Amino acid sequence: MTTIPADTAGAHGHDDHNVSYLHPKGGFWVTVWDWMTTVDHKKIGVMYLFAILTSFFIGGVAALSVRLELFEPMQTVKNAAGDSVVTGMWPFSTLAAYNRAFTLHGAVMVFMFIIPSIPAALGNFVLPLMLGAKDVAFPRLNLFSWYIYVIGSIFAVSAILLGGVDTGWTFYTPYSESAADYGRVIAMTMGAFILGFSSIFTGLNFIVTVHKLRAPGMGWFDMPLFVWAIYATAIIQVLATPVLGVTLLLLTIENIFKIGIFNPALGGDPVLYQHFFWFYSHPAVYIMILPGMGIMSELIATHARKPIFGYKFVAFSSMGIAAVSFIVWGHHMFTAQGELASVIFSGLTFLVAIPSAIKVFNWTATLYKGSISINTPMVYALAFLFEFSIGGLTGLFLGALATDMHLHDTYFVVAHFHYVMMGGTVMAFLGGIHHWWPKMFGKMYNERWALVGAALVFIGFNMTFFTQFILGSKGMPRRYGTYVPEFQTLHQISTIGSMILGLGMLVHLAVFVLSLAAGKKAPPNPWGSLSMEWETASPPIEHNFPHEPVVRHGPYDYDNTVPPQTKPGEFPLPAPDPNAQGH
Amino acid sequence: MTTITNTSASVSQEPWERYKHQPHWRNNEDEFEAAKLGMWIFLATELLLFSGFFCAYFILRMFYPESFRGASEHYLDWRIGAINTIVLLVSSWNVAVAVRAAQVGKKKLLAFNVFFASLLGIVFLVLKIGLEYIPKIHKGELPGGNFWFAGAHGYDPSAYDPMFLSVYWVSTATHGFHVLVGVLLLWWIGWRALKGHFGPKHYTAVENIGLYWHLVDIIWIFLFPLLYLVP
Amino acid sequence: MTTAPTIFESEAAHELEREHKHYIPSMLELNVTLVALLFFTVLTVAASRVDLGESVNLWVAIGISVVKGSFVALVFMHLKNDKAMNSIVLFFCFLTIAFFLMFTIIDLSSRGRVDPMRAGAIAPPAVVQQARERAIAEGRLDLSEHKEGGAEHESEPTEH
Repeated sequence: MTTIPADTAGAHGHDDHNVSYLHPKGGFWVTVWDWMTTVDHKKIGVMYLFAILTSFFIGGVAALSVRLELFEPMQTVKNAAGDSVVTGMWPFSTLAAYNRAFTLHGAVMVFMFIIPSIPAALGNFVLPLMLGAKDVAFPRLNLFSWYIYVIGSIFAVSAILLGGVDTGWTFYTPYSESAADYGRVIAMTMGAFILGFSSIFTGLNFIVTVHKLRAPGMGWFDMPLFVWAIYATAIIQVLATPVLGVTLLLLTIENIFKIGIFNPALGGDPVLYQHFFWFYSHPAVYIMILPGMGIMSELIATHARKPIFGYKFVAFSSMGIAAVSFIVWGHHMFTAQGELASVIFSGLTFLVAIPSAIKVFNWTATLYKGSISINTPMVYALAFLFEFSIGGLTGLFLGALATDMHLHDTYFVVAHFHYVMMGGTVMAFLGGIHHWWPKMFGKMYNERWALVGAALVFIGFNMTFFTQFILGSKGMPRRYGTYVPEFQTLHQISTIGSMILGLGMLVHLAVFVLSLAAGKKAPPNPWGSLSMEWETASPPIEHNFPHEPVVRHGPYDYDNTVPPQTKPGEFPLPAPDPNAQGH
Repeated sequence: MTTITNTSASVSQEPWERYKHQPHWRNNEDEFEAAKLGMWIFLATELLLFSGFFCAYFILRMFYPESFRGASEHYLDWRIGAINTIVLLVSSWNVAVAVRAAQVGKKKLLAFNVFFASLLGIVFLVLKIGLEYIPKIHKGELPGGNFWFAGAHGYDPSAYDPMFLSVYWVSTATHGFHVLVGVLLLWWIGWRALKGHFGPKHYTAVENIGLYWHLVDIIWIFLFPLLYLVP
Repeated sequence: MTTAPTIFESEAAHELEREHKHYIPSMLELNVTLVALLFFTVLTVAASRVDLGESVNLWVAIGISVVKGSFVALVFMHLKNDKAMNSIVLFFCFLTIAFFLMFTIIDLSSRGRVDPMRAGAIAPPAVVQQARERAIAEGRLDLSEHKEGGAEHESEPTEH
């Protein structure tokens, strides 16, 4: 192994080949400065991971407070002194405070957590490794994206600290431009605007990386499906997010300068705002789910030790979902827009179910006759299959105009999107974190307690949100802090479910902390996976690979290839199938 | 920003001749093509940002055609718009000549064209701010709720003139901001050109900032007739 | 910020692999394009003077702008001699914008017949009324003369 020394002064020579990227470069402050100025995609990914999990925690606390408030409906009762008091809003004292809580939950979860989650945290870390590259295409832009994320989050959090916003995370006009104290609305919208740029630059980086930095011998159809998913996501990020940018920019200008493009009192049109807003926000939900689907392909193939059924179908479905996602946004506006547009959008919306269904069928077919390990990543993959299917199917009720008239703005919608966003993306995210944890940190996590956490999350999640389908179909409106007494039982079940869900998340947090503190050292390839990130050390060295990697097998060639860096016999090849026709 | 390495070659070599790509790339050509692709994707995002203004324009024009016609004629002077259009087109030509100059190694021609283009950019901004924005502020031709038009030629403002002015102000102001950023970027390129950073083997930044400037020009090509020439 | 590069054995080969010739446009090409752009600018102004009806004028203006934009993109921005991927990026960008505008316009143009504001049931923005009154009071606007400008109430647009 010879290296040709670089021309620059300060070449490090052989040392780099043995040192993990996590190894500190010096004392405390030297290490801090190194992390603050790093252009290493792995470190940036880890920083994003911590920030994103923090955002998840903030949004989650807001959610739990919302569920607590909904444990009882508002009632006027006589207290001990005989006065009338209004109860049922605990932990809030007014419904206005409740409104700010659910707005916070939505805005933080959407903009600070879920949109960056998988691409920025896991994608940044894993994508170059999967492609056999040393880094992403534009490492300094990557660092810049990270800092933009931080600044945008500071804006959003300051809006919360200033007292919060009660417009709902969608900021519909004219309500969002009618506040006398519009400072907080501007802080929140500008926070989202800035966060949008982080998303755009990350997407730009990933597109160029996939085009230009694949290892020699890796064609488009030799890439893992996670890469296809991230690529499709990046396309959406790049094309859709700027429209959010101009929308929020116009909203801010409207608030400050009262220019009235969305304000009917001045001749503007509030439905125009909704078109602008949803043109981004619908593709945004595919930014949320596509990377989760990419992770699904990796988890199922690895932990069932089988090639993905219908690789090309899954790859093209990712691109198909990205394409169709741009032409269905009006299904968020069936009650606001004109009839002709509603009919067109409803028809188009049914199209987008097709590629998603193709993927679900292909993953299920992959499981068939696979050698399935029941570990935390696989459990989350199975949870995804179950929950995403429910979420997707209930989307059809909402896509059909006749039923949507009754279900729009009810808890049915809330349950639907939580099933796809949380039951889909968050489950995949958690599965992905557990799957790549050994690679990222070089430590194993405690599998038994992680499974306990997964069980609590699964039970809690379904308790929380399945009841909401029922509530919604019975007419419970969304964003309301109170309700008719008939709904109380279901709301209480939902709240208890949310507490179990929160407990499951805390168990996971404890497992992660303990793993970092005292976890077993991870082998380079604990799962026997075939994608390229497992061909290097756990955790990887700074420049990812000691030698330029050469593609010798496909990413899912489990029938023919012994996984790299595993002990002989640890992951035996399958016995030849006597009934096989031969490849 | 660039990795200019010091080899043992003669000191009389210009920096562009010694240019070495970033370590994660395999060669200079890959890096150049990737940078260009990245720039094109960024330009696409800029176009999408402006598309919002165009959408608002078309919708409001569809709602209030009479207002838009009258407002365009009375509040905007098409001659200033036309001059600005010509200014930007010539500056685009300058930038294209500058890129070519870098490709054939003519350092002085490169620097001259870059600086001249930036000068034309400043002319654009001066005309816009001096001959359009400031008089408009004085005459009350302001967007939306700020409108307090001060009557000229007996023109009776129509009910939805402020809507036209809203679209005019936000789209031209955002465009003007992009022109300003472009001017600053051109100064940066010009300064580096004088220091010999660009030549036939390495001119990535000139190419990419040139692309940005051309986009700013294209956006104005569309804004001009839509705002100034409503018949 | 970057650490020292470590070069793999195979990379020396990569370095020599791709010495591509970049396309260098001729001055003639650039000059002809500028002249064409200026010509089309004149045409844009001239076309706006001829009244061909609202929609036709609009499409003519957009059409000429598209031609001008194409000249800038193809020649000045080197798209005609560049890798196809860059043009594909631009194409998908335009496709996205087209869908955005198209569906929004379809929706907002096909609204129900009765729009209270445009039917005159809701008064036009007060801010303009105040501006007019102030201008009249200060003598800058004399309504007794021939009115040049738009009407107080918007007429219904011909398309629904």
